[in-house]
Amino acid sequence: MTSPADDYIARLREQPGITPTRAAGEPGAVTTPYERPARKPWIGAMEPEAGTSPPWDGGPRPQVQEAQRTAGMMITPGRAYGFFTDTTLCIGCKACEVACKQWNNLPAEGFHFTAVSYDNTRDLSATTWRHVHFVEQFDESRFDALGPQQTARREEPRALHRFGAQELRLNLPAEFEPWGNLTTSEQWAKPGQRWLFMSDVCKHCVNAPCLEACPTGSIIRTEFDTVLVQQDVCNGCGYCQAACPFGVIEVDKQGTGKAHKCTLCYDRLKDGLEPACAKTCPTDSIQFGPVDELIERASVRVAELRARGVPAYLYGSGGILEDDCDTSALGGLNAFFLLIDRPEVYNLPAVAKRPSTNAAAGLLTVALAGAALAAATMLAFRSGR
Amino acid sequence: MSVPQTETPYGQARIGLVEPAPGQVDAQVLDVRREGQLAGREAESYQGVPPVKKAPWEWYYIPVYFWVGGIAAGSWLAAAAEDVAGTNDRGVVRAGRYIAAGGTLAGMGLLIADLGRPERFLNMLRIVRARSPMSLGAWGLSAFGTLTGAATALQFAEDVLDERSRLGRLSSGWLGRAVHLAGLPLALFAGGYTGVLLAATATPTWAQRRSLLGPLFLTSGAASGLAAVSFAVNAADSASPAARRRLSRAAALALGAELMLESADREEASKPPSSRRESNVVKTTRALMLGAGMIAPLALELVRGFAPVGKQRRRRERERWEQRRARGRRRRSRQGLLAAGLTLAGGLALRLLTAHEGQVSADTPEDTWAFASPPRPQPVPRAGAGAPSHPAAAARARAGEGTGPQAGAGALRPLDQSPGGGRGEGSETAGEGGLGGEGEAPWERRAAD
Repeated sequence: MTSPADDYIARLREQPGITPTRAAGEPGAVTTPYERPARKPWIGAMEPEAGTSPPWDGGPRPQVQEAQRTAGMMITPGRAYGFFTDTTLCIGCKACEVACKQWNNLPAEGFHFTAVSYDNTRDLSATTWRHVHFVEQFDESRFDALGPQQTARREEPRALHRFGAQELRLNLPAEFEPWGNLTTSEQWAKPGQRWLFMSDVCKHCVNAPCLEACPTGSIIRTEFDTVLVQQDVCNGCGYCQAACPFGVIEVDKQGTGKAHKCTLCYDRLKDGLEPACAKTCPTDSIQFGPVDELIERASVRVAELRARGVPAYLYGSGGILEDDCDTSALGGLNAFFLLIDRPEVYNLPAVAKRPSTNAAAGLLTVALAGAALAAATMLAFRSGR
Repeated sequence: MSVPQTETPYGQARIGLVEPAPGQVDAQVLDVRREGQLAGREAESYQGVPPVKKAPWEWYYIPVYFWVGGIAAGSWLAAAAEDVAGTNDRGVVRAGRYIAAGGTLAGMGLLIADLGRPERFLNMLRIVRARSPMSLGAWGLSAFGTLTGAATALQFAEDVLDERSRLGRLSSGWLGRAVHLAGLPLALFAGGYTGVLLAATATPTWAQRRSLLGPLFLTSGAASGLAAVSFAVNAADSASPAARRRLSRAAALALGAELMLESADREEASKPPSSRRESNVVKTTRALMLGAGMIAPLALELVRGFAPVGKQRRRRERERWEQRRARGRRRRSRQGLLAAGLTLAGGLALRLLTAHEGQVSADTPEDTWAFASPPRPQPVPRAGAGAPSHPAAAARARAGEGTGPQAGAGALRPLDQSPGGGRGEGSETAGEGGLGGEGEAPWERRAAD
């Protein structure tokens, strides 16, 4: 029985650059030194580790993985894998959102227009596991070309939202050319005005609050150190949704009735494939790899950016170059980010708290209050005999 | 330049090339982010999208369960206290046992109904997880439910067979007492864990009150449970006047404790910004809850429980009650029913309001920012004499800023501060020089506000 992944690996093996010296399955089969693709030039020499066996259930163990070609490394269970999302490289194309939806067969959420932003998917949900924030930092001068009437309207984006985008378009002044005025660089590239993009995803926290909250044991930590919801166990109690400090996991109340979030493409990792979003990212803003190597890579990137005067820092690296935020309560995040503005601008809490620490404090006070209450009630009944 | 190695949670990691020396905050980098780009953006979030998701629980299931579960816990407390410390009045014990069983059963029904997959409710009993109040609660409620079932079976035997039958004697004797005592810690847990369940979430206003919500829910549950038993015995005229007085005393104590905890809790709950934008409906409901749901029944129960009653009057009351019972008549105590009803309504309002606060708080980004923000550290000014370690600072120093304390202050300003930005002294030196010149990337520049 051959799986689609088997066929894929077989085809991969026929390609130049990856030639096993021995046939797969033979003891001691080692691949030739891996030639890195040019599109990720900064990935260090990460040859597949000789002797490590990739995950494989049954059949001859493949000695080549697609991840070698796309991410420059073998995926081996037992190592911690995650994402490094470099927001300075993100161009907001939302290819990761699409790739995620496609690979995971996630339904669309309908066509909504927020009318205050070009981002119309807004946030992560049970059926959106990657989401690209469009942080639009522009002041009112951006809308000078629209004329005073529109500028005045723009000052009340909420009111605009109420009326909807349709009315905005209909009420444009007659002399306004829909695209001609606005797309010139003079109009747009004003000093200090910028787009910030961030591809948001489940952080796969080391001390994951959703996992700690889950009363069914449905949420587990996998052999790749990722956090996964076992769909055949989850009963949709929703406590993980309330516990997540990043607003990631959500119960699909209208659909399956179960909690869903990014799986870090667990099925792909098992077959030696890089997660779909990281593979598709055209600028390598999303990088997949072992967390320790990613942190190393990210540190170098932060250093480069700082040398150029960009106030870059890491969010979720577990204390490394994490100077305006603190995720140490969660033990760091396996999916971490490089940011250049305050965390709140990207909708991230500056200090990520671990809800389960409240449980101990709360239960202790309940125990004390319970003892006092029982004693007081007994006394009240005693005295009234 | 040598690359320092640092021990990290992930093992050895290489730190970048321009990492500042230990203890020396990279003030410039922090400062640009705090001041230059963020002036006037303090309350900013991402398009008002809530950074945390609110609990997906329906108000008519989970808060009502909190109430019903609290009633079950409190009525068990009443039955156990009457059995152990009172005179084992069968009317109080019977009401306590039945209400506890009914409340637990109804609570379980509500909990199951709110699941996304109700048919999988038994999955709650796959594991025990000490860090998850919901897991502990599922086990605690199951154990408590089992004991209330046992107590109800005993009570049913006592009621249906005969008080003097063997089972009836066991029910009012050592076995009933053993069941009561065994269930007491479970009842107290079931009454209080619900508050902890709310506190152990990312919802700011609940997490903020982590040590208060549990005791508050526990005392409110106890008051509600005692009130439920009191309501039952007052409606059915099934308990002796002395036992009712005891119930009132205990209810008054529980209500007093609830009121104190509620005032302490209000102080904590008024910290999140969303609490300052409460609707008039919520404010009115809370005022009613405090006045009619806590203070009024407290006054009533104090009078009913602690008003001095002479021995003769007590005897007379008891005789009249026994006469009524013998004739099969009953007399409702309106005052008792009112006090109990108000307490019960107050308990429900407390659960609904607390749940509502949490939902609003989770939907308000400012609440999360206030809750999950570090105290803003003051940028550490560099000593004037030392050469700036950061290349950007070095570049600025080369661009014409002097040394000394003045330059130290300058190093803390945003990179692109323009003249007249009005951010303190020395802004005139930074406008033209520094990095605000030709060669900078667009994202480094921010407009002066």
